[in-house]
Amino acid sequence: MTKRNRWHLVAVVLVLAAFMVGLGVGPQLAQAFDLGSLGGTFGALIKIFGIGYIVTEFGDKINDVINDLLGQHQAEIEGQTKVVPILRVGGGTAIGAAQIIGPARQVDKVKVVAEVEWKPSANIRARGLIPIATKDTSSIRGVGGVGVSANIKFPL
Amino acid sequence: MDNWRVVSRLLMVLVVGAGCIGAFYVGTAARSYLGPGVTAAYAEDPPPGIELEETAEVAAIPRVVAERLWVDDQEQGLLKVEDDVVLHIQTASSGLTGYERAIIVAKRLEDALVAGAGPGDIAVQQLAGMWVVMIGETPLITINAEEADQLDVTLVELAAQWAMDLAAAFAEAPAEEETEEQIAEEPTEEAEDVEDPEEVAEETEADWQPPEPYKDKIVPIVSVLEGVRIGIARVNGPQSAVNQVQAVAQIETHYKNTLEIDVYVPISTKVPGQNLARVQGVGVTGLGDYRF
Repeated sequence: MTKRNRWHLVAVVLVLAAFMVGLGVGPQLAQAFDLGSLGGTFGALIKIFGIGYIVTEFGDKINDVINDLLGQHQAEIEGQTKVVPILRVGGGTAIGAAQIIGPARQVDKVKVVAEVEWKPSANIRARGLIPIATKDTSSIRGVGGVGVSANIKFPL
Repeated sequence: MDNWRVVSRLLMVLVVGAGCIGAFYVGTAARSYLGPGVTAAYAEDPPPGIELEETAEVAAIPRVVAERLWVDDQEQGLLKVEDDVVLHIQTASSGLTGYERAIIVAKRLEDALVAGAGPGDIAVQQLAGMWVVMIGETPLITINAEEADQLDVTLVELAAQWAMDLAAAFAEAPAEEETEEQIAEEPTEEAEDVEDPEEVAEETEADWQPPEPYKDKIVPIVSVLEGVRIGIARVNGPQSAVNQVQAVAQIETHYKNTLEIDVYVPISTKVPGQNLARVQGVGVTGLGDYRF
């Protein structure tokens, strides 16, 4: 194989690899992604960087969107709100996000919402949502006066 | 000549790089036309994980008592766990008054707890067409239509509500008052959990006092869009505010066509009106849904 052909081969392999990576992380039809729109890019960001990154970068904007929506329904929240990740109890990976409400001082303390799932029967499912002051969900201490006002579901 | 070679190689690298970027986007486009993969799932329906029984610890067997309550010459029963009212049984059933039913529930609960049952053993089952709250294999209480009618909930909603109330009472619940005491009493332990030392100092100094005692209540979730009940929610807040809450209105929205957002508004009416009658100061601390 000549040196030139080897370079061509490397180039072809690189292009194919990029195609395969794109195929792997690309959006899915079920989630109605539009590649040309910001939504498509946003979906890719979730897949690449995870929920924690999205909450850090876009939490304030999501919070504003929810508060604007509540304003449209004459149901504004008196008190402070913010968006934090939801972690399953005993796990360290975010499985969603929540908007929390409460007195400013208490809301500031909250780092994540811990979720405890419980199935009292085959067709009943209950989820406890506990705002906590640490990112460690191995032991849970709720922050008083804070509750959840919105559940933000991420496509995984 | 050498310079020309370097330039031509750089150009080639740029062309290959551009090709890679193009191929990446072609790949993502191809993926969107292939349809959903096997990994497509939403955060709300994650695979089964750690359940309450594996994580909650029961410190000691709590004291369970039944108390008599007279309302309009009707004997009703309160089931108390460590002085907190967990169930209020208003109606008679099978020839037993509410109080007598509360005594039976208290006895069965205590026996089950002594035998090693925990909050994770509390379940809801349909036995012979009736909704029953169970602990392990033992029926605790059967839900009757009269009780559900008085509370304006369905039979299954009442069963789920009572089961959740019982489970919460026996789980090592992170009670707000206790948390604040712990924060004040154990600053060093709190400090281990938080990364930023300044925040630790703030948290340990902070001594938030609620304006009045907080309480929980379970109410139906009603969709603003469809006007139908779609589940139940546990709300928490100052006692006077929680007493006003009749339902939680759910509004659905999206962010950037990608994130699905359910917004919960505790309201003082049973059905959401054009403008939502929000009860301020109340938040959601639990969600329940049922499917048939």
